[in-house]
Amino acid sequence: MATTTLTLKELSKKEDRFTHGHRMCSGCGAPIVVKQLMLASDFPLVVANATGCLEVSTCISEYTAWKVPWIHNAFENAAATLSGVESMYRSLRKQGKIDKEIKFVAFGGDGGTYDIGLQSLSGAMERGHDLLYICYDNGAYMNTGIQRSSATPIGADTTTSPVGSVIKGKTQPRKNLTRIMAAHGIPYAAQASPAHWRDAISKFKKALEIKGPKFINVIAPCNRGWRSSTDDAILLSRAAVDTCYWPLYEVEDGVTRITYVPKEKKPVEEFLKPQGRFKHMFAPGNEHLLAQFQAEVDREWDRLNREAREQTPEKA
Amino acid sequence: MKRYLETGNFAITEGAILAGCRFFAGYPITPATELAEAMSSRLPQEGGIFIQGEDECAALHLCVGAALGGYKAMTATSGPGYILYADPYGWAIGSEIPVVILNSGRVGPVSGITGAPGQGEFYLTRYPTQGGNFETIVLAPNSAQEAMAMTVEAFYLSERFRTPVTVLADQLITDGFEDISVPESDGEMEEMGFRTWPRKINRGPEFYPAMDEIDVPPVVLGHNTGALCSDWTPTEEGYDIEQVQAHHKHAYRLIYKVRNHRSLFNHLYEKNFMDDDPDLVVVSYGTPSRVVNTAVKKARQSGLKVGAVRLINLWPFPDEHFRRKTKYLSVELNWDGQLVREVQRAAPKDSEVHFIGSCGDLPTVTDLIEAFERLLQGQSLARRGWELEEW
Repeated sequence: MATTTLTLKELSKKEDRFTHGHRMCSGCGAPIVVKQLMLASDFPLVVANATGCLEVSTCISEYTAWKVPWIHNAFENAAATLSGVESMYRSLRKQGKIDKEIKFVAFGGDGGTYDIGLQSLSGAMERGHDLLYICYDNGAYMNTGIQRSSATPIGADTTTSPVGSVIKGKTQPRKNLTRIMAAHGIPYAAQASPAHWRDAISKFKKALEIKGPKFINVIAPCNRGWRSSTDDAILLSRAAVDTCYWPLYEVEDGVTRITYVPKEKKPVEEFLKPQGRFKHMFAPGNEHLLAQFQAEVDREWDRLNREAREQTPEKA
Repeated sequence: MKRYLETGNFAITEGAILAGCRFFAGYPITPATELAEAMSSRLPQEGGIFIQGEDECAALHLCVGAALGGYKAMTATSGPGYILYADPYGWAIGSEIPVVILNSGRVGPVSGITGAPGQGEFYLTRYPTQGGNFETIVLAPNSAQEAMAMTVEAFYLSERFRTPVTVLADQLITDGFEDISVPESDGEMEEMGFRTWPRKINRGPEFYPAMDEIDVPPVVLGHNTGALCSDWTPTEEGYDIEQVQAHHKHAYRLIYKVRNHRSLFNHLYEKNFMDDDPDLVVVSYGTPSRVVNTAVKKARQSGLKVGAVRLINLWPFPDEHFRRKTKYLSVELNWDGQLVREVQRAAPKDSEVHFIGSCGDLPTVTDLIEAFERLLQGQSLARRGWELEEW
C-alpha cells in the first residue's frame, strides 16, 4: 500500500519542486523535510507557510525556492488560511470549474504550530478540511534566535529559558502535539524523521492520498539552536529515533502503529551529548537532569507501546 | 551611576526593574525579542517572574493577571504582536489595571520588514482596542537612554492613573547600541528625574471612583479585598451591569481621569529654536526627531527661521504646541502620514501643514534642509515625491 517502490534511483529522477539556492542555514533539517514531502507526491500542490525560518529563508527579495503556489501568512494563521483556500477549491470543483486534483500542504515550525498556531490548526482539523499540516519541529523559536517553545525539551538551554546557577534551562517537558492532533480523531496523524527517509516519504505519500485533515510532525535538527555541528542533522534525527525520544509512528483511523522499533533502545545521552544546549546536563552534580530526561522519554515510549498494543486490530 | 555601551532593549529592561517591575510576559518578535531574553535572566535575579506566553494576546493577559495579583508587570512586542494585544489591552483599560507595554515599531503593514524602523502605530496606540470611551497614555522616546527614562515614567503614570501605558519606540531605539547610564541609588534616580510610584492595594469598598480622581490604588485580588474584576461594564462596586447609566459613569471616568490630569505628563516634549516664532515648525517623535534636530540646527546656522517640536507624550495629543498660525512640517517613518493629521487638526484653521514620509530609512539632514528651504520659499514638496498628497 504505502511503501510501494520507493527507491533512491526512482526518486532522483523526480522534478525538484523545492529548489536549491534558498537561504536556510547549512545543515538545517527543515529543507530536507520539505524536499522529502515534494518527492512523495506527483499531485499539484498548494503550500501555505507560517512565519518561521523556512518561510523567511525560502522567499527572499525577488527569489523563491518554491515551484508550487505558495502563501505566507502571519505566524498563527497557516492552517486557517489554507482552510479557506481548500474550501474555495472544493466549491470550484463542485461547480465544475476545476477538474484537477490539487493537494494542500501547510508548513509550520514548532513555535507557529505548538504555540501561537495551535488554535487555527485545531480548528482546521476539527472542521475536516482536506489538507496536510506538516510541523518541522526544531524545538524552539529559531528564527528569532532560539527562544523556548512548548516543543522545547525539558532542560534545554534557550535564550528565554537560560541555564543559570539556580534554574537549569527549561523546567517543563515538551508538549506531545502528535497525540493532541491524533485526539482530534483525524484520519491520519504521524511522526517522522528525515533520517528514516523511506518511512518519512511513505507517510507523506499516504497522507496526501487520504481525504480529510492530516497532521505529520517531523523532527528537524537546527545546528544553531541545538549547538551541534553543521553536519549532524541526519545523525541527530537518527539518534532521536534510536533513543525513542522521537518515536516513529502513525495513528490511522484511530489505530496507533509504531512504524519503526529500534533494535536496541539507546540511552538518551546519545541524542543529548552532541548538543550544546544540553551541555550543563553532563556537568558533575547534574546527573538528576539526565535521569529526569530519560524517565520522561521512557514514560512516553511505554505509553506509546501500550497504546499500539491495545489498538492492534485482531487478526482474522 | 554605571555606564554601558548597550542596546535600547537593555536600557528598557533596567528601567523597568528600577521602576519595580517584577513580572514580564513576552513572546519572541523582532526587534523586541532581546528584551524578553534580558528579562528571562534578569528578573529571576531580582526575585521576579518571567513567563513566555504562547502568543502576544496571552502575554499581555498574563501581565494583566499578574498586575491583578499585585505585581508591576510589563510586556514588549512590535507591530504584528501589538495588534494581538487588542483584547487584553481593552480589559486593562476597562478594569483600570496598570501595566506597561513596549512597542518597538518596525515597517508595516503585516509582517512588513523586521529589521528596520517604522512609525505605523501612531493611531493604533491611541485606539489599541475596540469600543472607544477611553483615553490612552503613550510616551515616545528617541534614544536608548530616554527609553529607559520613559519606561520608568510609564510605570509611574500607569500606577497613578490605573491604566496601561504604551512606550512607543522603534527598531533603531531598541536594537541600536548607545551610551547608557543606569542609576544605582534612589538619589541617582531622582537626579536623573526618574519618578516611581509604589503599587498600593485598593481596599475598597469601591471598585472605581465615579469622578476623575487619580491616585486611587488599583484593584488587587486577594489581600482580603474581596474585589471583583469583570470584563463587562462595572458598577462602582465592581459588579457586572449592562446598563446605560453605569456605562456613562464608567466611560466618564476612563476619559476624564486622563484628560483632567494632563499636567502630570504634559511637560514631556522637547522644543528647539521655538522662542522667536519660527516661520516653519518641524514636528516629529522617536528616531526621526534626531535627524530633525540636527537639520534644524544646521538650517538655523544658514539663516532659515525654523524651529522643532519633538513630542514625547504622544497621547493624549498635546494640542497646545500647535496653537500658533505658521507653517508646520511633520516628519514621520510612514508613507501615509499619521502624526500630520493630528497636527492639521490641532493647528489653527488654514495653517499650512506639510508631511515628509519615509519608512525603514531615515530622511537625511540634507534632504530635510532642502525641504525647509522649499517650504519657506512657498514651494511644494510634492514634486520631490515626498508628499503623496498636498495637505
